[in-house]
Amino acid sequence: MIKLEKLSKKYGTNYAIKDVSMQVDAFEAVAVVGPSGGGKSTLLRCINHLEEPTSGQVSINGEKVTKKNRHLAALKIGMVFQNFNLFPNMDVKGNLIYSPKVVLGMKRHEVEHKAKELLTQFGLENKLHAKISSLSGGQKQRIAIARSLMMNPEIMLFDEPTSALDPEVIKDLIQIISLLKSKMTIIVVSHHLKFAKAVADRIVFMDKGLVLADQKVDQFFSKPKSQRARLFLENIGDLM
Amino acid sequence: MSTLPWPSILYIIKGAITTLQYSISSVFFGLIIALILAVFKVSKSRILKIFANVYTSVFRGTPLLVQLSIIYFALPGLIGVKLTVFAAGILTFSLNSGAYVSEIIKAGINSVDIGQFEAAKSLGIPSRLAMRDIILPQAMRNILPALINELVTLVKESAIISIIGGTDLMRRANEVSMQNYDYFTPMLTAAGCYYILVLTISSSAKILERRLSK
Repeated sequence: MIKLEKLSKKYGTNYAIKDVSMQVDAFEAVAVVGPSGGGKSTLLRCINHLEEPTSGQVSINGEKVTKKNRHLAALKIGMVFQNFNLFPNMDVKGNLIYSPKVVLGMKRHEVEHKAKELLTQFGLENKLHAKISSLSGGQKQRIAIARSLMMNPEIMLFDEPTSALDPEVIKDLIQIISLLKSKMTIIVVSHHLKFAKAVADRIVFMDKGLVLADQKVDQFFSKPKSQRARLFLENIGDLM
Repeated sequence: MSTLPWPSILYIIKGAITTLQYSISSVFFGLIIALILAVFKVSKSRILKIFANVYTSVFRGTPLLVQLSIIYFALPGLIGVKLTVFAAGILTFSLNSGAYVSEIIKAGINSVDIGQFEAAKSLGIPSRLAMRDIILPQAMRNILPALINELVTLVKESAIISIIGGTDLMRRANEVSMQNYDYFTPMLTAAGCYYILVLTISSSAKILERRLSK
């Protein structure tokens, strides 16, 4: 379970996010949606402290994340980046086994076994020794997801996971996230509404750094609480 | 122009080995110094940053010949240690090259996508390991051409060692010239040797680069 209390991030005099409070329970999937520049990605980056929040508090399972223990918090949170950020100087195997080996101190045969298992699960069993540059966008993303899963996270963050994918591959991603949902807490940031609807239990709508709506999926799409969210839904319509 | 005896020409050519010894050792030790300096430069510590920047500024802001003279002639009086010509040469060239190369490496580190640092951080990888295993390998690949350039520069600049008695290409060419009252052939031989060295290094660098970019 992850809890955000009055989380704010200020750049100069501008708030990227302001007083964001919410709670995501274990095995719950939340999609944060809204227009570009609304603070979605900043929120995600504050959760795992890639950005230092200006004020407010993140707690994981009731334990407050502080500057001192954020290294431990990072271990509970996995993140899949928009551009995947795989390490191009290592092959697929290297990407998967490096951090569990050096960070968790897992044995070589354990990590290799786990890596093979995940690759098989994602239909990439023949890519163990592939170079990162030889992979397609969808394959890179699955490797990035697998790389995070190697660390056994309790929470997974996805930053705009559909933006670098071919439409055909999005279906696979929805399948993978649905699979993960039964095992961990998921927060997805996306401007892709149909995708959000397919993967999330709950929708958080953000604009100008504020949370304007926080509702169950069906309620959000049928009766959005905020005027701005209603407008957003109307404008996007069937496009996404 | 007189005809120079073949052994004299051979004597000069053998100097190429000395020249290579100086330049390759200096690039190697210079690279180690540069790596440390570059990591200082991108570190969060103000003191380390200032140290690395002052170091670079001093070594880039004074002539190599002056640096060599200080280390070879002035250091014994200062700390009572007399270095051999070879040691003084390697030390000077490494310290000097370290300053230049540290700037190259710093640029290389900065050229690595910030997302790589973030991915490492999100996986809980300590920054020291992230630097060593993820950032630097990518940075080094980006700067390989600049590093080869540095080796080429060192091959040429190492000729300065002849002033304090290092028997490199230049020194040998000088000796032969004075013995035979002929500067033309010995110097042309030295120039030819330098040119072949540089050409060999830069063309093998090109092959290496092509391999790496595959």
